[in-house]
Amino acid sequence: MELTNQEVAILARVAGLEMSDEDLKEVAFRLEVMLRKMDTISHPDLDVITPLPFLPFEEIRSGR
Amino acid sequence: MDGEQLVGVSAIELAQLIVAKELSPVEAMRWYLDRIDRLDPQLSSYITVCRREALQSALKAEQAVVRGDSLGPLHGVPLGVKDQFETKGIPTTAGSRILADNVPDEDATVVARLKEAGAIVIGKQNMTAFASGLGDRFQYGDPRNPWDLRRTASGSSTGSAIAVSASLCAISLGEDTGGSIRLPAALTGIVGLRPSWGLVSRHGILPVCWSMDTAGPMTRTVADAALVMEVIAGHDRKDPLTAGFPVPKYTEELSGSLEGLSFGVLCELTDQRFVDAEVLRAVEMAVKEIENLGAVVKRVSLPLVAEIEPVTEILCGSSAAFLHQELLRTRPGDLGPSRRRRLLAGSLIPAQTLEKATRARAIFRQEWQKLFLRFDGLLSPTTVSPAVFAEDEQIGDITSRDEAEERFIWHRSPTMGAALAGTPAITVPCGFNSENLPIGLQIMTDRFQEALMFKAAYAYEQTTLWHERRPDV
Repeated sequence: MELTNQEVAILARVAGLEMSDEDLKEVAFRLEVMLRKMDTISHPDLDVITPLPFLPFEEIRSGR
Repeated sequence: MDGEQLVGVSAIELAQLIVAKELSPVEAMRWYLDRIDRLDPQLSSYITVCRREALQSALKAEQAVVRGDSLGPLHGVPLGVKDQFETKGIPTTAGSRILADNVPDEDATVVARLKEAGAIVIGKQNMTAFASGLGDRFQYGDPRNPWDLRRTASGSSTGSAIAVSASLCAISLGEDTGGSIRLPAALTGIVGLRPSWGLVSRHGILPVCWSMDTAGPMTRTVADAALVMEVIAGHDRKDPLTAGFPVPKYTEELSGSLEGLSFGVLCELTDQRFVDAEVLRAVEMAVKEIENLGAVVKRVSLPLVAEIEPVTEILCGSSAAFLHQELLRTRPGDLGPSRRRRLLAGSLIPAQTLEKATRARAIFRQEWQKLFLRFDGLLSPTTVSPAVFAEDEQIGDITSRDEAEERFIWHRSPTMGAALAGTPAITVPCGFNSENLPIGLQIMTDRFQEALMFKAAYAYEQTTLWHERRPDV
């Protein structure tokens, strides 16, 4: 999937962000690479795992 | 005591000399300050040097020794602090000119704890702006690696690593989100530790990514790192996500034998397509040494390691974009171009992608921790190469998709696994390449198993002389 500068400009406008042409070009490259790389990740548990960003609180408290 | 004898002296030795009245805290502080005056113009490891305050504190420390007061374990020890930690009455810039006038009215918890243990803040140390990855120039001078002044020392705790390596402070506090303590530590030949997430308070640290940020020691020896951890670890009511169990006496875990322990060497992090040949050779030698100490070592594979760079970029990029949304809208020109564009990209990540990254992280953590059912620890290089030339550092615009992939989706960064999983990791010097540049061995354990990590790191350190080599600056 190739992300055009125009598409990124629309996204930025929706998010209330201003970008110069130079910024736009590089942001498009960065965003496209991130999205493409994420698309390649597939794992059977992705749909079922609880997406905790850190360990359960009780485990942190006790050091288990 | 002859001043030059303090080069490379550990914090524990320094404190012992002070307690034994063989070295005055004022004399020690003057020695470090003079050395900063002499060497830092070319190393740029400090943003702020607290000369007056440090000497005043050293004088008080000296008076305490004379009075025979009860002294903390770091009494009179000069402490460098990455400029990401809030320090009462001392500017805290996070490496950015935007915060040049930011003077906190409170110390970060870890700074306060080190001061209570007797350490004296000598200055605030250079870092990449807002602890972001490399890409923009440093805003407070370009730090140089004391092992070769033409080279840098990665980031973001760059100044802290350089100052410890060049004996411009006795110990330092760094912050590690994805490798910011361990990478510069390895490239300057010192010890750097990322603790388990939740073991050390984050209160008073200017954040990067809340679920990955950690504070840890940067020192010249493993024993110093263990001592600093004893001081800074433990529950803090100002950071409710810190662990509630008593902090182990890490310095009492330092003993010589690794009999009965097992270590896995991660295939994905020792792949010769990604790792410099001399780095690999040094790490292989270190692995053999750990076997000689009685441990069982086997190779192990975790293919998910190859997928975590984009996950990390999504999580850190979106978190940083949220934290700096105001600056992005009001002062975009004051952010470096690379930083600004990373934040902009982070602001535009679709919700589904962010959710997928969070789930991918949970799966990775699960698989990572399964490795610790088989092994007590994991081993890898800390960096994929020794320090690079300053002109080769990644600075400038990204002009193509390939360059974007090459530059910000890092290739097999060895430090990322522990960061994403929230588990601890330490880097210890394990050799030098043919150009006399330091190489680091990374030792990782399961969460809250820092004592085991210290045991292994210390045992290895004691069989080598790498940590005793100091740069000729």
